[in-house]
This record gives sequence, structure tokens and C-alpha cells, in this order.
Amino acid sequence: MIRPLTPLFWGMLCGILLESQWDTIGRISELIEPFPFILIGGYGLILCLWVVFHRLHYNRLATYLLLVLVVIVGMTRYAFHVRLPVHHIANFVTDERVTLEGILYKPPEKGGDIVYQNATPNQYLYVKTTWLEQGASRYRACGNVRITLLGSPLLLSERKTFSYGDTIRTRIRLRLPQNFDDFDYQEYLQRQGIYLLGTLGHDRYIIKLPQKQGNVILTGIYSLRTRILDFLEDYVTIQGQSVSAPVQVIKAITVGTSRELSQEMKERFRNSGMYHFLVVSGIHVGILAGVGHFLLRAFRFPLRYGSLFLFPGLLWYAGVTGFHFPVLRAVIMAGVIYFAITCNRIPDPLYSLMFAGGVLIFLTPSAVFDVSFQMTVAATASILLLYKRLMRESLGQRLLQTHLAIRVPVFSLIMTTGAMLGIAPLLLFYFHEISPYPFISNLIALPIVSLILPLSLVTEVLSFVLPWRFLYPLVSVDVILVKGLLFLTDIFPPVEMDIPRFSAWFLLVYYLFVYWGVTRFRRHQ
Amino acid sequence: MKKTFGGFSRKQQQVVSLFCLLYGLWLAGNGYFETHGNTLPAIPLLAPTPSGMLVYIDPPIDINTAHYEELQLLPSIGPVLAERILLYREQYGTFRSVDALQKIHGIGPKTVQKLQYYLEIKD
Repeated sequence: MIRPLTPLFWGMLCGILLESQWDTIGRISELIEPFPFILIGGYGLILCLWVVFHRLHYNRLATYLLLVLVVIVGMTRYAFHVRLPVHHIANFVTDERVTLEGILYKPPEKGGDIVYQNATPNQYLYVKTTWLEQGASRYRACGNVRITLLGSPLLLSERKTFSYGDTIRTRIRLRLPQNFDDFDYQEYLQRQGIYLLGTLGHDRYIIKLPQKQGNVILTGIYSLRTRILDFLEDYVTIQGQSVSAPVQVIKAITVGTSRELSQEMKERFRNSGMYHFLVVSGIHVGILAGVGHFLLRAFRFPLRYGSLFLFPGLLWYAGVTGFHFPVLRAVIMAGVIYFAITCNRIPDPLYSLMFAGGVLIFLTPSAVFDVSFQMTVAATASILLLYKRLMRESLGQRLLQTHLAIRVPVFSLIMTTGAMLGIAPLLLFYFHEISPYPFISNLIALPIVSLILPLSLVTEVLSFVLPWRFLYPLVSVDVILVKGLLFLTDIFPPVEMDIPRFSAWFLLVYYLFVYWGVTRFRRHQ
Repeated sequence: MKKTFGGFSRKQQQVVSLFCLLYGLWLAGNGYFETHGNTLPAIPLLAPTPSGMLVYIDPPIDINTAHYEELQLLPSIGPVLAERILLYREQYGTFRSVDALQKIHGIGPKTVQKLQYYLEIKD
């Protein structure tokens, strides 16, 4: 088989979807005590059957058995992923005050609507529980909680600084997240691994314990991220609050701090169809990879060897931006393509996408239900399928021969069309809104963002070796570009749409129809 | 010509089966049985020490008797400064006034100004 990963990917996806819908393994294991043994025994039996068929050269039967095993892998991966261990904190606490010790497994984030005057923003601490004291007992516990430190200042006190790897102890009321209207916030947080929330009025109620834990590599990556953010904050302090809003946008585009943007700013980008530039995703990885390829070509350095430097750089960028699914998907794809080029093979982007998606859903089965994962896969698949279809037509071949000044905007339009084909129904399904302007706004914004992102990253990397005041003119150039972007968002008036809710089955029918429509040409040949 | 599903090649089957085998071994030996673990060991908090139980303070607190964790609950005092305060007390005895904290490296007039609302000196 030319592309063996294809049935494996679909098999694992089926397993995950089956288990998520019917909780088969979970329910049966509660009814039948020795079910785990039965499951492992059945799994082993199928594997033994495969050995028999393999030796007898019954290829098709052997393949079907392997596919059954892969479906079971998907089911068990999901069941294991969502099942809470006995000592998980959510099994102890629903709404009460407890004493908690844990490690910050992510750098703290600023949350809520940031006001650019003198207010102190709220801070989110992401804690991986290690110990829990409840009543008169101390338990070794696990599970992640999110603590919101409110921004209200205490009398003449400064904020404590927290970072990845810090061990903290606090007494706090933990509760289950509350859902809004029709948005299942509890499930949304659970997919991020967060089961309980707590709020503290001030960091006075948190003790930092002496032990510093955490992965050494991640500590290094996160401290680089903190330094980048400090560099940009220092620029705002020097230049004044007038550049605060553009710098927040630069931070969002470069490092992925879109949560810190004000609601008004997010609405402006959403209305003009440019919100995806604020959320670090495959576009950003693509821009950086494009810049890397350009530099390699300029210095006549073969990509085959240059990819050995490019890939670690992209991986570093994935770490700095927080290892979100869209970025990881793009970096894994890039890795597969570079590996193919290095081994003198022809890379297949669609196959690389399937590989990247398969790796992500194997490691984190709940990614299947994550909106960002769905959007990044849908958008990339649509773009690649549309491009492939276009290249089979003579028009596509003629476009490749045209001048750069025509080729770039036309292909940008094609990319936008492909992306919209992929994500439009998801936007309507989850957010009940869509902007009618991406075809125009992306055409103008993409070149601007393609300048902002590399310039910002280069400046921030240079800030590690050069005095910061020498680099502020470069940041000022970025600020001017961002102001241009903000001006662009004001051109497009908001459009009110009343989108009726529809079933998820419609999404399935839509994607099957689009797939059939885009690949139809191959069938008739 | 109608395409038929010929299945994986023999080598592809071997690779996939190896992955399935490794996964099966992991499943058998690891997580699934952990979810069916029995009782959870609890360490009873018998006569807990004040410093072990402390997670908040009611100011003002006595600078000459405050514990390591208690000191860290003060504004601008972290693990390093808390240790320096304890070390100073061991070497030079009790503080006569809150201003005497300025003798400690890392604590200046501004910090002392913040701390005076939280600290007292008891006879």
C-alpha cells in the first residue's frame, strides 16, 4: 500500500470517536470486574491471530485484524486519557476550602480584559497538584487546577513573581467550572487538563516553597519567553502608553499572548476576518519557514542541510508560543517534509498532515474535540486539496509561469479560499459568526504580518546579545506596521449575522461534499 | 480499472504489529490497572506543626518569632530574604525595631516602609 498511514489514522480516529460517544470501555469495566484482563487477553488473541494469518500470507485478513487493533488502540487511548485516577483532585473536591501544594506546569498568564492604565491585571496560575490537605489528612494527589490571582493591589505591596517550575502552597476554595449559556466551559477546561478553579484575592496567600522543579529544557524555553515579553514591556515603559496597544498586538502575533488583548481589540480583528493572525498557528510557522528558505537560497545553502537548523528553530518557536495544537501540527508537518527532502524523497504535504494529526491524537486523544485542532486540520487539508486540484488544471500550470507580482496575490487568494472552505462551517457551528471580509483583508494583511513576525523575532533574539536601547528603532518599525494593521481593521464595518444553530452531522455531510467536489477531477480520469 | 484494497505489504504489517505489540504491553503493565487501584494512602495530620499548616497570616506578626513560611507571606519577602532574616536572628539575636531589618542585604527603606504595617516587636 502506497500510503499505509491513511487507514491507520482513520482507524484510530474511529476508535476515539466510538469511545467518546458510547464510553464502551468505561461502562463495561465498571460492570465486569476483571474486564481489563479480558481486554488485554482479547487484544493479545487478535495479535496472535494476525501472526497466524501473516505466516499463511493472508494479507488482506491480516490487514483487517491490524485495523481492528488500531481501533482498539484509539478506544483505549481515549478511555485512559479521560479517566481520572483514584487520587485525582477532582475526586476529592467539588466546592470547599483545602490546602494545596503543587508545581506550576506552565508560565503564569495575564487574564481578563487588560486595561492599559494603572490597573493590575488578573493572573492565571496553572498548578499541577502534588499534595492535598483536607480535614485532618494529607494526601498525595494529582490533577491540574487553575488559580486566578485577582489584580486588586494590597496596601503598598508588590506582586510576587511566579514562573514555570515553582512549587507553591496555598489554602484556597476550589470549585468546578461553571458553564455559560450553551458553552460547556467545564468540558473546554477539562480538555486542557484543568478540572478545578480557584480564586485568591492576593498572592499573600501563596507560599513559594524552596524546591524548584520542572523540565530543564522547558525552563529554558519559558525563561526565554519571559525575557522576550520583558523586552517588549520595557519598550512600552520607555516610549509611553501610546504604543501599548500595538505592542500587545506584536506580543500576540509573535509569542501568542492573545488572551491579554482587550475584548475591543479582538472584536476589531474578528470583524475584519484577521483574527487568525493574532492566534499563533500554521500561518506563523509557514512565514518563519518561508523566511528561512529565502535566507538559505540567498546564501546558496541547500535546504537538505539547512533543514537541520530550520527544524530546531521551528521547534523552539513552538515551545515559546506554548505548544498549542496548530503550531505543533505545522512543526510536525515541517519536520516530516524536511526529513523527506534530506533523505532525497518527494514530500507529500497531505500525507504529512495525516501523520501530524495522527501523532497529536495518539498523544492527546481529546485533541479531536479541540476547536483549534479541528480548524487547523480542516484549513490545511482544504488548502492542500484545492492546490492539488488546481495544479492538475492547465490554469494552475499557467499561474506558476506568471510574474511574481501576479502569482503572489493570486495564490494568497487561493489559500484564503481553501482555508475558508475548511473553517467556515466550524466558525458557524462553534461561534455562530463569520466575517465576509477575509478575501480582501488577508490579501493586504498577510504581507504586513509576514514583515511584523520575522522582524519582531529577530529583534527579540538580538535582545539577548545587544543592549536593548539599540534595538528600539526596530521595534518602532514593527509598531508602525501594526498601526497599519489596526488601521486596516477599522476599514471594515462589523456585520451582524443571525446564524441558526445546526447539527454536527451537517459538518460531516459538508466536508464529504467538499472533498468529493475538490477531488472529483481525479475520479473522471 | 476498479481499485481493490490489497492490504498492507508484509513489511508494513510487521511495523504496525510491532507498534500494536508495544502499545499492548504498555497498556497491560501501566495505566489501565492504575485506575483500579485500591485505597488511597492518607497521611494523618497529627499534631501538625504551625509552620507546616501555615498558609495565611493575621498581621501584625512578631518579626522575632515568625517562622520561615510565615515570613514568606509578607509582601516583598521571598524564600531568600526569609532565610536571611532567620540567619540574622541566629547570629545577632532579636530585632529591636522593624527599621533594623535594613541591616539585611536586600531589604531597603521602601521594603521596610511596606512591612511596618505587617510587623510588630513584642517584648
